[in-house]
Amino acid sequence: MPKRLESSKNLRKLIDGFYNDVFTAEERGVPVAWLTVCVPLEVIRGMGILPFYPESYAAYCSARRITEDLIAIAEAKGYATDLCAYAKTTFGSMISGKGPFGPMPRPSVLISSNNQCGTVINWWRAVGRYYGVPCFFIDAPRVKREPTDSELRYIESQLHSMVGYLEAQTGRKLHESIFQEVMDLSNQALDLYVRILRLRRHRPAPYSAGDIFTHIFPIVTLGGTTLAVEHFQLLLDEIVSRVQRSEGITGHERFRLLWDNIPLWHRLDMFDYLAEKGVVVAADTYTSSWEYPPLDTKDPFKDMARRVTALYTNRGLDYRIKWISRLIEEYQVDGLLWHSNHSCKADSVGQMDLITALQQRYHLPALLFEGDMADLHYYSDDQTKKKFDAFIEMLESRVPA
Amino acid sequence: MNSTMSIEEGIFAQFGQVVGRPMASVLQWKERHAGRKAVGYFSSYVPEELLIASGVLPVRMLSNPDSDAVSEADRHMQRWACAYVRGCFDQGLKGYYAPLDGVVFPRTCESLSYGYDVWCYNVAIPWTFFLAVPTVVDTEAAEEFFMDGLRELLTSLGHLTGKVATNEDLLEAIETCNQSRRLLRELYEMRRAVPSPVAGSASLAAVLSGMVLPRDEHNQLLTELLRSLKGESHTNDAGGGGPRLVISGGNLDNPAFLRLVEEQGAEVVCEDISTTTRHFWDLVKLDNNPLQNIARRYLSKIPDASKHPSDRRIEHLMALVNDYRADGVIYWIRLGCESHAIEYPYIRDRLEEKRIPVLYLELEHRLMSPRQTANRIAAFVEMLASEKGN
Repeated sequence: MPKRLESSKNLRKLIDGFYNDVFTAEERGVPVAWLTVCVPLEVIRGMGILPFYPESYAAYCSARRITEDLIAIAEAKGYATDLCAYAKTTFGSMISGKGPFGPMPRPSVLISSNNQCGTVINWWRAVGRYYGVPCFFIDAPRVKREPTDSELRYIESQLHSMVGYLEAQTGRKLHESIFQEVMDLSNQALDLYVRILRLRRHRPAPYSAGDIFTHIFPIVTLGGTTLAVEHFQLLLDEIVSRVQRSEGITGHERFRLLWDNIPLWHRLDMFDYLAEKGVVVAADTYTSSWEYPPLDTKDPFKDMARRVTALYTNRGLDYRIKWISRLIEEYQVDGLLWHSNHSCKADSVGQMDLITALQQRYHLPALLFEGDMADLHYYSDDQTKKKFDAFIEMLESRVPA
Repeated sequence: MNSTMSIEEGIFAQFGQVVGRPMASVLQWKERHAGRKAVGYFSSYVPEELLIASGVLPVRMLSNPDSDAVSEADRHMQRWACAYVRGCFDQGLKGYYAPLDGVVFPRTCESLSYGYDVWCYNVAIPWTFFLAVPTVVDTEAAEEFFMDGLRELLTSLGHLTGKVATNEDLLEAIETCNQSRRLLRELYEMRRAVPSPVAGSASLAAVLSGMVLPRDEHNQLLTELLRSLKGESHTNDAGGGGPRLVISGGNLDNPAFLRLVEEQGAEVVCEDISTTTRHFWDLVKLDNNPLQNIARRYLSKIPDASKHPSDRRIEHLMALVNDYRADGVIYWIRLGCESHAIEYPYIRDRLEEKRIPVLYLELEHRLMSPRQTANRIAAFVEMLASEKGN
């Protein structure tokens, strides 16, 4: 069993603190914004509004393996079995009032963006109808190669309109000094996060994919706070000292893989299963999605517009090939371990052609296995382990005697 | 045309033949118009006017009615992607759409948006265009952005055809398409009658064939059809008197789907789907700003579920149910269609508030289990009939 990071104890406190704040916000008269994970957080925090992420919440529920009942409640209401498990988990909690923290926090604000998928538009609209709260959508054009001026102008104008929506919904204003402070803290946390990601280039990899998939929490939910900066500094220091000691997560690192798609939140221990066999996931497309350059605090709306377009799921296959090629080269990848995630067309449609293109370029073995990030109906432990074992045998067969 | 057929039967038969073999119809057109291009388009958000103005035959991407099970597509696209998109892609790989010179993909649902690249990588059709249709359709910024996209489409069509559409070309195309819309509204008005004089399956064939034939030719057939229908009494092919149903959902692109409903003893009196009323219900304003008017019309038309706001679509469905005196609604969507699936509970609740029963069905790229589907529809129809009798 790989040694867990000490910083995980602090992460636990941050997660508990975050949900406690959000789920008690109404009592304290603090407005709560339900957001998708790629909405510019700096504006929200700059107005003293608390962000809540149904996707992170659903991932949390999945990690605790409590999504089944919530999904069943949503499906009984009429939501189709093929729908995103994050959405159904949220609906289940909303309808029943059940969940790890009690009834869902009532939103004052609902903002999502289709830069990550189309489902979030309908999902947020359903939430808006339920709570009687109007939605604001950041409509992000799908970018073919690089965003055009027309696309950036369109998004930037919406971000300015978003401020008006937030003011109307909450009565709060965006104060320049607080906004600047939030952006500075966001940039600091981002810088630390990117440095942490890049330490996985080392052999042996100093932390597991299971670690970084959980430690992504502060960059998603706590951007713009000192908590995020302090946590990533703690994490960075711990990982640097592991690198200095050449301490890896497995006694003998044999193979380094690249993971594509959202992880199996309910089975993050599969990365431990791999590590025990000397296999580490050294890179992935999910955590690298937050590898943004820092925000230009002098012209933040222009930069935020660019960031909205930059998300992995908002880009075509040509761009994804380029992105993944960089990861393969920089992280010394030996094979591709890809999750065909039933809940997510945005991440999954196109995977087969991506694998073909990357194999032509790098001649790497690849395993595309079926699963789901949060719905256990579409996942089998036994079958997945068998596929992983067969894949490892294939990797071993490629090693010269 | 069979000489014993009435005029309208003959025209409906023609429509049925076109819809039964759309690519054959495209090939015939290309033989008559050597050198001109036929361009396919997905969804009701691609402005046909731009294609027509550029000298192109616009062809709605209809599933192959004779398609076999999806096989080739499985090598590139997961089984839980939209069944319609996957089915068309499979047929694209098998060469079914070879008569087309290009395809326009609009930014609408997930499977189309993400499937675009998969199509481009694998299907040998020389020209494709991804049209950036806004998802939020009611802002000035969206209109401005959409117009940028439409200008790009016109430019790209110009490269494809060698003809750059002028304002006059656009105005003429708008008139042709508006005429089509008016004629189809007339046809649909007739279906309000009890019993409806036009079977739903025949009506669907009438609409779909207009997305394959040149619009001006189709308009002539529609004009003749309406003259004939108004000139004599007509009995409903499905037997009349059965429960009246409105179909709501995504796209239905084969009259066989509605025939299956009619065979269970119901009348399909109207549809809220992207291949009928959501496609033709709204006109384009005609003045000297054709491109802007086209943009405005397509953004403000009755929306698909993937667009926001969607209130107009809900109100449209409720109005159809009222105006067509529907006894029930079949909510019929494609497997893997996330946008229409998420809307279902809300729409069902709104209909049930009005005491309108709803049957929920999911559809593959073709009718995979017709007997099972027929049984479910039959049970629904029986329930409606007994309620009607009470």
